[in-house]
Amino acid sequence: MIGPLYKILGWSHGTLMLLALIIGFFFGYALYRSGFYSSKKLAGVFYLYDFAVYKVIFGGIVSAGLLIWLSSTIGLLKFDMLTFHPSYLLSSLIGGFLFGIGFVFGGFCPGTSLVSAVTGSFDAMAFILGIYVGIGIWDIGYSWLFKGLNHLGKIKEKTLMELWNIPYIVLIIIAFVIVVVTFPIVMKVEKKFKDE
Amino acid sequence: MRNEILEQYLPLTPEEKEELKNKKIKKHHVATVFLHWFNLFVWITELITGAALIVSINYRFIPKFLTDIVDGVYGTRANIIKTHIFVGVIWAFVLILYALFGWRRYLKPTLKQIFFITKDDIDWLKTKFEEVALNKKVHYPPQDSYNGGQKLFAQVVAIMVPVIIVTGFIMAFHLLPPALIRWAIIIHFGAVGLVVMGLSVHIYMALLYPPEQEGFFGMITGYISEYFAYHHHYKFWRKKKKGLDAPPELEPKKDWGPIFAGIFLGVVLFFSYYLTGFGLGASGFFQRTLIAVLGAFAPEAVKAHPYMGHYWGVYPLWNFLVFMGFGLVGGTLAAMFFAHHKFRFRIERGKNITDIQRLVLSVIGGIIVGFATRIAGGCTSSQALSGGAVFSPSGWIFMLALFAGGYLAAFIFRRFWK
Repeated sequence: MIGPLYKILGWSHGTLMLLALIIGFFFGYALYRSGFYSSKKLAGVFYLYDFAVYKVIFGGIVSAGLLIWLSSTIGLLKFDMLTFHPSYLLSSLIGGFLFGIGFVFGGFCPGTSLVSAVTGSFDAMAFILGIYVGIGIWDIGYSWLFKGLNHLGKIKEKTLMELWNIPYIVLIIIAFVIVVVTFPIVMKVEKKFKDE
Repeated sequence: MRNEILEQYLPLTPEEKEELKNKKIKKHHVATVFLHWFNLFVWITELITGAALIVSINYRFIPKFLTDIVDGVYGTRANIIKTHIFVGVIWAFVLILYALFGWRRYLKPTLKQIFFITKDDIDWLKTKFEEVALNKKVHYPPQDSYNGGQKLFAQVVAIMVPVIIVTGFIMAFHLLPPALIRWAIIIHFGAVGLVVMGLSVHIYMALLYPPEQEGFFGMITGYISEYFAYHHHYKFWRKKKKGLDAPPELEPKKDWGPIFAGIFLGVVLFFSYYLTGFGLGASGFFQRTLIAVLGAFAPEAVKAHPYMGHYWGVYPLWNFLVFMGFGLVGGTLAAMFFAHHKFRFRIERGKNITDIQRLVLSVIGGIIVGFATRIAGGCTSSQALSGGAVFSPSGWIFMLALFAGGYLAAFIFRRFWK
C-alpha cells in the first residue's frame, strides 16, 4: 500500500490518535533503551565524555533517510505528502542555538525529559516545570514581544534537495560518510575524556 | 513466636499480637498501587460522563438535574463524548500495556490467585452471609491474599473489563454495522453495571467498614501490618513468612549500543512517516497540554489568541503529539520493565554542584529550551531528527545551531557537568 497511509486511505482522526500512541510507545522505548533516561549521559555529548546523543541522532537520520528514500523511489511512499517543518531558517538558527544552551543547563531535551521524569528523576521533573514556564512566557508575551520571531528567514524550498538541486540519495550518502568518518574520531575523544 | 502458627491458623497470644502489630509486610507492588488509583480516577470520570451520555429514555437511570450538572460542566455533549472516549482510550492503553508487559510478573500470578477457588473461599462466602444476614457470631476460615469476596469481585472485573474495552472501541470508532453497534451499547452498559455492583461493596468495605481500614491504607503505602495479614489473609502471610513467594531477582540489562539504538529510532521514524505522514515530536505535547489547561479557565481567550489559537485545533488534547507523548510515557515504562531496571527517585548531577543547584539549573534549562522550541517551532525530535531525515533546511540548521550553542555553553559553564 502506498503511504502515508493515514492521508492516502483517509483514515479517521481517532485512528491517527491510536497510531500516535503506538508510535510514541516505540519512540519512548527507543529513547529509554538508548540510555537517555540519564541527564549525565545526555550532557556527555557537550562535555565530550559520551557521544551517544550524536550517534543516535545521526544513526536515526541515516537509517530513516535510507528507508524513506528507498520506499519513495520504488513508489511505496509519496514524499510530497509528508508533513515537516517549513523553512524558517533564521528562526531555526536562533531557536537551535538557545536550545543548545538550555540543553547544557538542564541536561535534557523535551522528549528525553519526559522519559527521565517517569523513571523518577527529579532533575527531569524540574526541567519539565521549566519547559512549561518557558512555553508560557512565549505564549503570554507573544502578542506584544515575540510576534514573528518564529517566522524569520523564510525560504520557499522545503528540502535541501530542492534548494541545492541534489538527489536525496546523495545527501544520505554524504550524511553516511560523515557518520563513517566521525564515529571513530568521537569514540577516541570520549575514551579520552571519560577517564578524566 | 510459636512455630505452630506457621502451620495452622490459631488464635494468637497477646504477646504475639503485639509483636505482629509492629511488623510490616509488603502486600502490593508499587505498580499495583499506581494502577489501582489510576483506575479510581478513570472510573469516576467514565461513570460520570458515561451516565450523562445516556440520552435514551429507555436506559436513563440518573435524574435529569444530575445530567444537567454534567452538561453544564462540560459545556456541550460533544465534549462529554470526547472526554469519555479520551479517558477510555488512555485507560485501555494502560491496561493493555500492563497485560502485555506485566503478564509474567503481575497479571498471570494475579489471575491464578483470583480464579483459584478453594473450599476456604466458599466457606468464607457462607460465613460472611451468616454474619451479615443472620447476625451470627462467626469465625472466618484462613484466606489467600484475596479473600472469597474479593476473588468474586476480581473475577467479575477480570471478565468484564475486556468486554467494556472491546465494546467501547466498537461504539467510539464505529467499527461494526449500526445494528451491531446497538448491541455493543447494551453489552457495554450491562458489563459496567456488573462491575458497579461489585464496586459499591468494594468502596463500602474500603472506606466505611472498620475492620478493613488497614487494607485501605495498604493500597496507598503497599504495606500492611503482619497482624492484619495474619487475620485477614492467613495463607498469604504463611507463604510470605516461609519465603515461598520471593520474586526472582532479575539482572538489569545494559543500554543498547548507540548505533543499534539509532537504527531502531530511524525505523520508528520511518514508520511514523509511512503510516501517518508526520514525524516524531515532543515539544508539541507540552505546548498543547499547557493550552488545554489554560483553555479550561479561559477557552474563548485562548481560542482567539494569535499564537495559541493556532494550536487549538479540534481540541488541544485530541492531537497527534499529545497522544505520542502518552505513548512515549508508556514505552518508557515498558522499556524500563523489560530492561529489569527499577523505578527510583533520584537527582543526577555533575560532581561540582549541589542537588539544589542542579534543580535550579534544570528549571532554567527547561525555561530556555521551552522558549527556544517556540522560536524554532520544534525540538530535537521534530526538527533535528524528523527534519534531518528528510533533509529539511530548518532541521539541519537547528541541529548545527544546537550543537554550536551547546558546545559554547559547555565551554563557558565547565563546572555544570564535569
